[in-house]
Order: sequence, then structure tokens, then C-alpha cells
Amino acid sequence: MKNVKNNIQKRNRRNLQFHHKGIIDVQFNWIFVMIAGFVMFLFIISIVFAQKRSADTQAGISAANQINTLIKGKQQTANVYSEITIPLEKVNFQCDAAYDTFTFKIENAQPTPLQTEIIFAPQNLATNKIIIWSQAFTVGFPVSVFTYISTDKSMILIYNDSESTYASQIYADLPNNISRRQISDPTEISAYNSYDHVKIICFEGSGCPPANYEYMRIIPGSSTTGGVTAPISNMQVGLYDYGTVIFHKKGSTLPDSALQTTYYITESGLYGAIFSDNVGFYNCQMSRALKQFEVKRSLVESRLLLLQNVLEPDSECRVATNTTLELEIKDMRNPVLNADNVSSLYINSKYLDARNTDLQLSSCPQIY
Amino acid sequence: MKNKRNRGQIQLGETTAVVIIVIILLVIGIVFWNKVSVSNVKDINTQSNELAVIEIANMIPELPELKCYESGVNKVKCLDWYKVLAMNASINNPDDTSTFEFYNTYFKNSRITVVRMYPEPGAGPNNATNITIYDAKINRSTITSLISIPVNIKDYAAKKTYYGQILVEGYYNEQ
Repeated sequence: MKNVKNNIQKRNRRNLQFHHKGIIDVQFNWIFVMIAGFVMFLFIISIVFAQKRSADTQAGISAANQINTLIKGKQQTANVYSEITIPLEKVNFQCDAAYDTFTFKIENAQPTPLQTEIIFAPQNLATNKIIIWSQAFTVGFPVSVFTYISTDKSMILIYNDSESTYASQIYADLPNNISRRQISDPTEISAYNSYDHVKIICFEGSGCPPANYEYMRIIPGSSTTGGVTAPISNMQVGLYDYGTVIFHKKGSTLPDSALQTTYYITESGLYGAIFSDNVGFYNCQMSRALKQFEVKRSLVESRLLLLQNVLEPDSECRVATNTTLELEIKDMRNPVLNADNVSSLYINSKYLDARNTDLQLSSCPQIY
Repeated sequence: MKNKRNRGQIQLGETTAVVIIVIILLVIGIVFWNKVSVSNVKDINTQSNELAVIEIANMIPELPELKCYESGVNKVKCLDWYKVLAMNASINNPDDTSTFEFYNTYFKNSRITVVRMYPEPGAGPNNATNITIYDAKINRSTITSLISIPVNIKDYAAKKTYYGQILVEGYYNEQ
């Protein structure tokens, strides 16, 4: 009986030992499962975040590629209007005149360099619809194609309180898909506060908004020095020939400050000023455009020099070619954007057009 | 007890073997995936280089600085021979590299030759048959692809039209 009791006690002790071991095993298993589960959870979360980052980057790159393709396409054809819908993106344009570089950057994507494209746009856009329009920039001979970028959240307000023909002309000539309105009273401006970018333009002689608004004043065919507006030349010039533009800063007491005054030449140049939101960006793009102008001018000069060598001496064709070369082409060398140059470039371009027609009528090789 | 210890050792060995096999399979998978990816990248790179050459070849006849204009209207697939010569002189001017630098952004790593094929031009200073207007001059061991585009070439001084070709060779490094 005593033996049986002892045996039962022994068995119970052994069972208790095994049971303790089982409890420790189960606890270790749970700790192991928790650690492994946590590691796996972290791993899955990191994959999800990596995928999200990758998808964002891909969307940015894809949007940048779409914009890039559209911009480069515009370089081949002038006066074309296009729209592109992209996922809501922040687009930034950077122009550096010192290094002659221009880039655009979409959030989450690397900056895309646009080495030859001349683009006028607000420097920062937050949009899912980009509107692109282009115009040829020709100064007698073709130089480049200017591209203008806007959004459906941009508005051009043409201030016209005295039935200005310039205001009506520019209103009619902008593409219908680009939002623009003619206004005659400053109180009307507040109705457009919901737009991201509002550009107010006005003309010399037809009134401008009060000084507490930011606006751009256009003075066709004139220059402004120390607040005095004077004609650049004695020629009768139209709105799209050349002129002065003043980017008036909000509240500025010096509306004609030299820093905010710049110049335009041709219709495409004027649109460039209208689509730019500050004078620095406009001047930077025009500086790049004039560098391209110099390359194209040097090619025309080179071609005329080669033609001179093969044309009969004293022939009408050779005399006309030589005159064009000496009087216009060489005179247009290395222009910078200033009042004198815009008028002389305009005058020379008109002479070039006339001489080109004359050469063609005389069955001579044309200038361009 | 001894049996249980043996069984535990066998289980530990099995687990270790499974872990090692899984790691080996993972390594093989990663190596294979890497090779496939590298091969895909090479294919994409080659395709992109070939597309770049096609893009350049299509762009050249559309450049206003090379195109023929008559009465202010440009002619399709037509090059003005004196514009070709002028571009050749300006791009290859050793004293002023600004024109080369400007066109480098368009023509990139390529060599562009304009060939007058028919009728054969006679002798004279501007009567060459081949003019290489642009050459990025990358060493010739690089792989190239060649595209040719037929064009009309007008000599407005001699009032002649030639049939010719634009040859575009794209240089790119073998990966």
C-alpha cells in the first residue's frame, strides 16, 4: 500500500515537471510568434510604403514625360493649342539666365531640363489640367517657337476703361480656351479671386487699376525712362510690333521702376510677357531666345557669304544679297533686350521681309 | 528520454536543412531576377537609343534653318543646299563653338551627313557630294545605328534640284 502511494506521488511529481516544461515551451512559442509576426508586419508595411513611394514617383515621371512630349511637340509647330490632364501635381519652372538653363519639376520627380525650349508660364502651378499654346518667334527669319503654359485656374483680365482698340485686339487674338475677360472697373477684379493666377493687363492711355493691384502695363512702340513715356522711334507701330511692358508690383509707389520695366518684340514676345508672372522670368526666357536668335542670325550671315561667292559679280542678285548682309544681318549681331534693340530689330526685320520678297521677284536666292 | 532527445535532434537538423534550402532557393531566385532585369534594361536602353536616332532623323528636314522656303511657304522634305553649307561652316567653326553647342542639344551623340546623289554635281567649291554637318566625334568603337531619309536638295544659286539623303548615325556605348 505504501509502495502504491509512493508510486502515485512519483508519477504526480513527474507529471508536474512535464507540465511546467510545457508551460515554458508554450510561453516561448508565443514570444517567438510575436517577434516573428512583428518582423513580418514591419516587412509588409515597409513594402506597402515602398510601393506607394514608387507609384508616386512613377506618376510624377509619367506626368513629366507627358508634359515634356507635349512641349517638345510644340517646338515643331506654331499656333497650336493643346490641353493635357494629369494627376493633380505641383509644377515648378526654373529659369537661370546666368547659366542659360531652364528646367521644370513635378513634385516627386527629378527636374527635367528643357535646353532649347522657350516657355512662358507662371513659375508655380498646382493643377491637373495644363493648357499649352505656341507661337512662332520670327524676326524676319524664323528663330524659335514660343510656348505658353496656363491652367484652367488662371485668368487674364484685360483692363479697358476707355474702349481701347488694343484691349479688344488682344482679347480677340488669344485662343478661346484660355480664360480671359475684359473689365472696366477695379471692383470687378474681386469676382476672380477664386482663380489661382490672375494676370491683369492694361494699356497706356486706356487706364490701369489703382496702385494696390498687381498688373502689367503695355506701352506699344514706346519706352519709359524715369516715369516719362516716350516713343522709341518715329515709325507708326502697332500693338504686336514692339514696345515696353511694366510689371507693376502691388502697392508700389514707383510703377515705372527700371527693375520692373522690360521690352517686347513681335506678337509672340508680347504674349510671353502676358503669360509670365514676373519680370525676372520673362527677361530670362527672352535672354535665352535672343541667344538662339544669334545662332540663327549667324547661319543666315554664313549662307549669304557663301551665296556671294557664287553669284555673278555686279549682278542684281549679288548687290541685293550684299546690301542685306551689310545693312541688316550684320547690324542685328548679339542683341540684348533693351529699348534701342527692340526697335532696331523690328525695323531690320521689316526690311528683311521686304528684301526677301524683292529677291524672290527678281528670281534670286532668298535670304531665308 | 533518449528517444525524445534523438527525435529533437532530428527535428533541429530538418529545420536547419529547410532553412538552408530556402536560402539557397532565394539566392538563386535573386540572381536569376537580377540577370533578367539587367537584360531588360539593356533592351530598353538599345530601343531608346534607336528611337533617339529616328527622332533626330525626322527632326532634321523640319528645321527652318535647313528647309527650303518658296514664297514664304516651306517645302516638304526639302533642304536648301546653301543652308546645309552654312550650317556645316558654323557648326564646324573651331573659333566659335556656340553653334555646335546649341545644336548638340538637338543632335546629341550622332553624326549627320547630307549626301547629294542625283544628278552628280559638277566640279566647284560648293559642289561636294557629301557634307557632314555635325559629328559628336565619340570614339568609333561605340555601337552605332544608321538611319537614312530621302530628301530633295535645292541649289537656289544654280537653280538645280538634287535627289539626296540625310544619313544619321547614332553613337551609343555598349552596356
